[in-house]
Amino acid sequence: MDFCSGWEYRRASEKRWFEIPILAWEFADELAMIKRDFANAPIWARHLRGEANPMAHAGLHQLSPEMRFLVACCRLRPHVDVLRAAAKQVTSWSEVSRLASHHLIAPLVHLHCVGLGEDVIPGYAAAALSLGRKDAARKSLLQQAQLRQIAEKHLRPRNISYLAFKGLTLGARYYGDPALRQCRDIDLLIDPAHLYDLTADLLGSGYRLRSPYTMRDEDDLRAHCEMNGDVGVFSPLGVLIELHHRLDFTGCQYPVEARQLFERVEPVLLSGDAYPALPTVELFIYICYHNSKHQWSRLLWIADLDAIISHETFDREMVLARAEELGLSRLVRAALFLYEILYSADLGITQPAPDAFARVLVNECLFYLQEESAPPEVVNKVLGAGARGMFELRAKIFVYNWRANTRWANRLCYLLSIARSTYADYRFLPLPRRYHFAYCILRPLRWMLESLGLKRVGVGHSVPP
Amino acid sequence: MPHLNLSTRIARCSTLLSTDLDGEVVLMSIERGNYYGLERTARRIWELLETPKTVGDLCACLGKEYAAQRETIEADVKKFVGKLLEEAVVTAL
Repeated sequence: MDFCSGWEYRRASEKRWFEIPILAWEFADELAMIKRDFANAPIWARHLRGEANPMAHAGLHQLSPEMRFLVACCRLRPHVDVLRAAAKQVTSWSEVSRLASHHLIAPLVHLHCVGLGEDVIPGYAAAALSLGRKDAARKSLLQQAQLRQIAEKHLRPRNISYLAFKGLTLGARYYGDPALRQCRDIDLLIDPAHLYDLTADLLGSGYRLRSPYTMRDEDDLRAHCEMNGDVGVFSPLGVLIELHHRLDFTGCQYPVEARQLFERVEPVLLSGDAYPALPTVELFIYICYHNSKHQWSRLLWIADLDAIISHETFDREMVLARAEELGLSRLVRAALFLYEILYSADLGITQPAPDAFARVLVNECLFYLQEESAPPEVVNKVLGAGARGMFELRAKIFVYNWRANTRWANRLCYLLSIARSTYADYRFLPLPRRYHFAYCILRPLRWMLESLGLKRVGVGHSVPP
Repeated sequence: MPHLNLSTRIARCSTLLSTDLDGEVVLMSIERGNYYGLERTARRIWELLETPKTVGDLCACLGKEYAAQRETIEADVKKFVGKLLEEAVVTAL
């Protein structure tokens, strides 16, 4: 087995011992900035109090005409009059095609634009969108081929329980065509008992780990599989596959075990093959959980929302009942409210926000859509953001998780999960499993060294979706 | 080019993946790592091959749909199907 399939991570500027006083001074400065932020009540603190984000826009009318048109295009079967009216307001069609590509909805926009006719959409914009749709179709075929290969060669022969979620199966089942829904990777939920064996098997077949680290030995790989939220591997064809051992890493926010989900899978046909996928109720709640965490900042996620809600298997009452059971009803109601706000013209309904959480979610979604910037947690994870950034990120994630969940048992479970050891802890100091409890004590030291730039042990992430 | 006659039975390759685009069918062969785009008549031939057919059957179907000489259709279909066989997009049964 080849454990040297990653690439060694090195900081561009290694720090020397004599730089420590300077770094300590920088760290103190960071702390001072955090203190100032406390005084100025930052966004996450307002979020905690349920106040609207002061940076956010007040409503859909604040979006640019191009973005309003794209929001209209996110519906699978939009009202032609609504779409035509939105198209007439567009001033820059090159901006439309650029944003459609950025938000991963070029195939859907092209589909609707073809229906509007050449008198509405200029030829050059239609051509650019058509190109984007063809690219998406090719990528989708490649991903389908990859999924088939993994299922036939690695999962079925070993009788490993798995299910495909988001991505391809979502596109096939709810859009009616997987090529209409762009996805960056293939997400598979794998039986936790087989995750290590499967990963080792894939690495032996020419796949490469996405991890920025070189695995030191089998124990390292095992820790990587067990302690990370997911294991990312690139296939020899260059397709990214994310192997998850549960839908939510904390195990408290989406409190359903993988094994329970395997008992409830529903087959989804993809290129003539049936793949196990989440039932609509579970998928919808998971989508609400996952996308709200990212403030619904991609139009693709809005399109997913519409595609699932419009599907024949969607039952609002059943979804709300299940969400109540899981303690996620606030989250689901907020997502449904967002949908009604975005498509109030189509749906002909205007309802008040169910609570402050929903109001904040809508405001943040509109803000990030308009600003076309990734939410802070994405930026911080990808680029790294120093002590202040990491503190804000952790505070924001904590507040979000706390407010999203209405069950105290889940909240307490989430609190406890913060103390759980991670793969970053293991990389910092590999300890046998029975001593993993010590990571709770060692973690502040790791964070301090990281913030000083002396040791970088964080785990790399890619931009969602 | 493989030898083809009117009685050669042709079927789509089972490992091939396809998707419909606006007026085009895109095919992908994972074994070869190639994409193929089929438009107009080529697309129609691909659609007709949803169930295995002989080259003669294909020509007869196209003869009903397109205003062209029988000989021209047979020559073009043989040439096109030959290319598909070379690329392993279809197989001769």
